[in-house]
Amino acid sequence: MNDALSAANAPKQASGAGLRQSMAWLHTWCGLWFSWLLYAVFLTGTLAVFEDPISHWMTPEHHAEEAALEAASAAAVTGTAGADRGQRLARAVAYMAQHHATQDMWEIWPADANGGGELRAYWFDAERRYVMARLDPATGAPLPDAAPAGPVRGTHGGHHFVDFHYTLHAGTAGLWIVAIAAMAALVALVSGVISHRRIFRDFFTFRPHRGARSWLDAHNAVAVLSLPFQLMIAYTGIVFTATLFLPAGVMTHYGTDAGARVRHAAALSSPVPHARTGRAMAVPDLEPFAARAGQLMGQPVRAVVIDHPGDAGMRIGVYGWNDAPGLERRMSATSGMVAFSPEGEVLHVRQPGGAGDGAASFTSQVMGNLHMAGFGGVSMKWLYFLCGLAGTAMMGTGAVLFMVKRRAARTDGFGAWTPRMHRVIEALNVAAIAGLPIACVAYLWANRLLPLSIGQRADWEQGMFFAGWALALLHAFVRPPSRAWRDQLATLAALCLLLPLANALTTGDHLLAELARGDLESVGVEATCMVLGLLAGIAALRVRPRAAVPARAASGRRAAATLDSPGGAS
Amino acid sequence: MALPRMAPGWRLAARVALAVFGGYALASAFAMAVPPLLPASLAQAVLAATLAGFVVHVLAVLWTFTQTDLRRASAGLLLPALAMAAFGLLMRGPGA
Amino acid sequence: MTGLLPAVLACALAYAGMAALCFAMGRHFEQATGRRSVPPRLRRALRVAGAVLLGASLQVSLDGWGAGVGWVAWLGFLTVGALLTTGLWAAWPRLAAGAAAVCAASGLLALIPWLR
Repeated sequence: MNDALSAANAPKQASGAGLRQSMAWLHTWCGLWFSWLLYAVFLTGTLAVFEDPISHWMTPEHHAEEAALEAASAAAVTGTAGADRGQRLARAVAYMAQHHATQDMWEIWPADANGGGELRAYWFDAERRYVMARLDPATGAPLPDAAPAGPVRGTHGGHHFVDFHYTLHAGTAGLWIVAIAAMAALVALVSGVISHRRIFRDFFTFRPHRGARSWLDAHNAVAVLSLPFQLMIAYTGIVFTATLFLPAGVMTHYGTDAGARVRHAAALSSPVPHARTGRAMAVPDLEPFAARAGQLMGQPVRAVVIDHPGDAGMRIGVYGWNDAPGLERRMSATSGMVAFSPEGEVLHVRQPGGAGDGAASFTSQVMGNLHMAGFGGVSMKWLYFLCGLAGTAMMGTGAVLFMVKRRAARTDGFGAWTPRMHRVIEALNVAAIAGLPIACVAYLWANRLLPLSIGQRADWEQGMFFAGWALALLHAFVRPPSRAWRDQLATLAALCLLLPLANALTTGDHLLAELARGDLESVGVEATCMVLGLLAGIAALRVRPRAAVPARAASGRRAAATLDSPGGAS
Repeated sequence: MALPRMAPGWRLAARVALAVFGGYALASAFAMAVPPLLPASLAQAVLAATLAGFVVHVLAVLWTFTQTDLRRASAGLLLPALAMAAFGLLMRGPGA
Repeated sequence: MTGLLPAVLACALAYAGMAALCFAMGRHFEQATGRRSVPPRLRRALRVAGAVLLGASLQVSLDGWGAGVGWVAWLGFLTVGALLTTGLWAAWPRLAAGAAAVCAASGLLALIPWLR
């Protein structure tokens, strides 16, 4: 590691070459140690773009139910909104006053965007859990929870990928690990750009069949060409829970106790402070508030939230329903909101997707929405999917490039430990780059193969994901690298290409039937899986068998020699 | 250079630690000091400074790796951090 | 729902624009034509064409998604267009150039009723 150490420790001061050298060092090592984790975060994040279609595919028993719901909401007559909203609100208030009068927050969802649907009330129970009661819209009496009909395929669906993407299924600890990895990604991205000698001259350059040079070209191309997306996605990923990761500002100005973040969050959306006064005051008739708010924000009423109900200091917030066409063209996905005093005075208005809460809140809402592709509709999701794949490829090619260059140059970056470290890095490369996709497809296979009747079925499916990954890791350490690459890529190709067959054999559904009934979500999942399988198959065929490895290393050495010369190969 | 130079491995470890933790200290101090200076409500200003704090951290890490002299790099990160933290604590409102 | 058409159109225009910029570079010009250097006037024409096509892509994007989302979408289309250019140029440079010409022509034609 001596060459690397000197580059990191003694950059030539105030010289472009020294700066580039130190940034290259930072890029290489920061990139290497985080590449496997970031690859996993990027790949699952890319799949998470299509959380809903994946969940849809994984719950075939619910397809009829979903279609019926969609038809019902499409058939619902618009224009009836408000007809009985006043009665619904009054019934919910009566229910809350009778059963949960002491709660400090009542939240009432009077109706869906068309004025029909369920009447629901939410509050925080004694353990500060957010709980809900479904009420009969005609009487206000609580409705029993509907019993699930038929055999249910217990599954976490696409949410498994979302959860792994941002917590690694490890709760707060995972959240921190992913955030640190995202910071490392930012450092690696910026240092990579600074150390890149010819960003514009090499902009469109990819030279295949040239060993390390090809890997470098591929790494540069996917990174540089998708750079705006990568910078955006890493930064917006961190700032989701900004005040958790960087609490100093909140701690200084809102206190160091556990409630400080909550107070800060509350102050963000309500500039007018509202505290209990101690004077009793009945909750007023809510319909005039709902009607006025609907006019002010131009959206149907989704929820009415009452803080400190029954106190003269109460505040009534009315929130709107977002509609799909509006969401597609708005940077921020926040709905409209109007806050009232109990006397009916308008305290605060936020237009749908607007900056009414303040510039910083708006920025943060926009960044959250940017991260989750909450706008733009289906075509935007596909753009995110493609850019996400480019980011995944950036991590994968970077990790491979590290090993290809080391193998070619026969450097001893780790001293006496070099052969062992190289073996470990090589195995981790295989298990991360080929093994994780295997685990993801194994999760989909488990969804079709596990019996419906077993207990904790959803967790079993998730277990299969981790079992698949563990097997891949074991295999990567047992088999020689080039064999491990070929085996795992071939396995991945087979699992991906045969997934529609597994579906047909277990549920009787297939691509043609899905197409015929217009189930594009299922078609999308299976077709995308097959395309990725095809790519994995091509990659498997192109991994040269063991005998050819020295040849590849030799051509790589030539490329690496030109690579490290100041002017590059051209 | 009065002190004996550290071994390269230790110097690297110190540099990485300085970049990570010194950078975090600078970002934290930034999030403490900047809110009172912004023309916005305190809540909005705190959020804005916190969001910008991550950029400060990234830049601090990169800057640390461009510096030859570790002591200068430490001073460059930690002295502004101390000053900004002190300023932020002084400007704290009565509510906190 | 914002239709598929603006996405396809913006993508085709972005690809054509990126391909024109790529074609104007010596290394890639040689890949497609076998000739060493780009004639200066052709180079300038290609760069202008590339800028116009990318601008047209931006126009479609802003029109389809509005001023905020449109810019974000455009950056996405630029990325996809540039990745397509890089990949196709490495494998089949002549085909890539031909496809870009087709994309440019049909994209601009489609833009006429679009602008109205």
